[in-house]
Amino acid sequence: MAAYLLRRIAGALLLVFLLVTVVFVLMHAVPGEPTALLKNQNPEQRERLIQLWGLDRPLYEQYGRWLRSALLRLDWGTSFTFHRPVLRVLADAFPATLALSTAAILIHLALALGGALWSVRRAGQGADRLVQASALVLNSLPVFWLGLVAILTFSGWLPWLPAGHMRSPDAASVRGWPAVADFLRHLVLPATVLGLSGFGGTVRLLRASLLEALSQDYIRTARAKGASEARVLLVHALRNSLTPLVQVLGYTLPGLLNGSLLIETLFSWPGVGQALFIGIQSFDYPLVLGGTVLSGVLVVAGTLGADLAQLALNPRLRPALA
Amino acid sequence: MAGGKRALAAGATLVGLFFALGALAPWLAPHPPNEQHDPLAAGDRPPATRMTCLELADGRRLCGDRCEPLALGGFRLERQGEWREVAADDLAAGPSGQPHRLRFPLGTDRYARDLYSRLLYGARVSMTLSLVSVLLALSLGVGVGSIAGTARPWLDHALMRLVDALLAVPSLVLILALSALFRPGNGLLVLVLGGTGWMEVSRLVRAEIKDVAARDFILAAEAAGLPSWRIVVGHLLPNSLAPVLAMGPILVGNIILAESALSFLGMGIQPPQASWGTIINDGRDSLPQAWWVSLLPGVAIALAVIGWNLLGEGLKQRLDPRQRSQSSE
Repeated sequence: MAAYLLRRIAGALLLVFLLVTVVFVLMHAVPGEPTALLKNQNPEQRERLIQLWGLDRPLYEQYGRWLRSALLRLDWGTSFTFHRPVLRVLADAFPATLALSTAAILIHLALALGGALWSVRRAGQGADRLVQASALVLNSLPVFWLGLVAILTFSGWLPWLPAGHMRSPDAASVRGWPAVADFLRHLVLPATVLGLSGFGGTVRLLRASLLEALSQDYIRTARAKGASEARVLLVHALRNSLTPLVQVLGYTLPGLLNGSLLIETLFSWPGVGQALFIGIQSFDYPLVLGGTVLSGVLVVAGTLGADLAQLALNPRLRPALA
Repeated sequence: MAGGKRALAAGATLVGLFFALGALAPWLAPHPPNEQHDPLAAGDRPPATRMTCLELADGRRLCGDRCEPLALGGFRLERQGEWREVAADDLAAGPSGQPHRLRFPLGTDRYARDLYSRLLYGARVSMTLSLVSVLLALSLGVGVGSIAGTARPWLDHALMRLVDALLAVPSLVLILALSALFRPGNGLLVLVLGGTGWMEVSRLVRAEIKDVAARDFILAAEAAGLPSWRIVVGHLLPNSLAPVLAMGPILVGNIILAESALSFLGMGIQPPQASWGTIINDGRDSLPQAWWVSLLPGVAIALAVIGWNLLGEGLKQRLDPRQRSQSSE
């Protein structure tokens, strides 16, 4: 078990290293420089900036330098656009993204669980079909479009919720509960839209694993001893269908990060996705590199975490590793 | 999902429809996709708008809701509730100077371009672009997957770790970073979309090849002394490609979504060219007063992607007997 754990962690670290290398090479594969930024400078300033950022060095030297400072001094360079250390920019933006994704995951889970349970209770009937059809439709909708529809409906036609940003302009003076309420009001729309993305996949998987669990012998036993249908479904079947769900949650992380880039940009949510998008638009190598590595690390960690959690939840998987 | 056949039929119909719309766009579209008809009076008009237009001698076009002849020649047009008189001298010569009616079946965007025509041309862009990108992704995936599946263990390992690393970057981040660097034309967009979509395919092909390689008929081929390249090309690959075939349509759907997201962010298809993503972006600023501009392309995207997903779902159940027995639960 310990050996397995070590192997997995070593593998994850290797993966992150590989990822850094791949991203670095891809970003520098194109001849050129942060042209958009440098175009407006006079030649002297250009020269100085190129030297300052080390863009005139050979690629392997830039790579070595970046790797050394990134790993040893936790210095991920200075963002060209924000004129602050990349790690600071990312760290400042991270809480906003964390809040958004956490809320999104909770909404995602609640909806998927509800949908799957409802559809299983009425397998083959209209409700089941409805859930399956909406899973298909939701999986085929562009998430940014869903966001626009949400903005149009709930802050245009029905002026209930704010269309963007994390707090109202006058909220700086507000403290305590009103500030929290203000924040939550801003959170509802982006979190719901983000939570709906990838919903189709989760609900279908959960439905399939619930159906599978329901066909097992222990369900027959539970029914035979007179457990109510709700108890059979919620206690016996659901508990045993949660294992694959953990895995899926780990694997939906890349999709969630994709979505949060779009949603943060659309809703002007001051998170990592928005910072990354600004960086991408302006050839901000250090920021893009840092942001990509950060999201890669999150994905690798998510997958690893999901695998380990699954192991913890399902003892039957363990002997195979010994 | 009940009835792989029905999914297949519905998917094929939807996909066929969008292909037909895209292919026939030049004949179906009532207007050229980028033509601006009098932005002042005809911009952001709702679906089912009809307007009366006059061509002027200086090449401009004036459109109005009503048009009446003036006693002294010329016409007066009601534009945005105000009457504007056009003298006969200002009109273009010949029949085009006479009032004629223009129809905008799905309304206009804020530059007074016909939305229906733009959507048709958008279908053309989305369908071709995604199809070519998927062909690229499939060939890359099959190539890398079959190399990994048949090569020595160290190469197999190296390739699969590379695939893992690429899959760990959220695809949109990767695509955005690349397309920002390339400042895409449409050809490069295909390269970026196809070049970031092959990883899952290669995993699937590799697993499938490993699976098939252990079967008896491959052993028999080896025993018969066939050279290994013939075993790979003639026996292994053909028997490993069925699931890839089913994955193709789903990939097309994903790529349509990725392309639209990219174009929406201004990093894909470049304006003024019409693509579903750019149209949604064009309509963003006038969303409250002209919702149709941003909403209708989304419906088109959804229908097209649903079509491809149904097609993939149907193909999967058709090609994979294990899926067939599962679906009868």
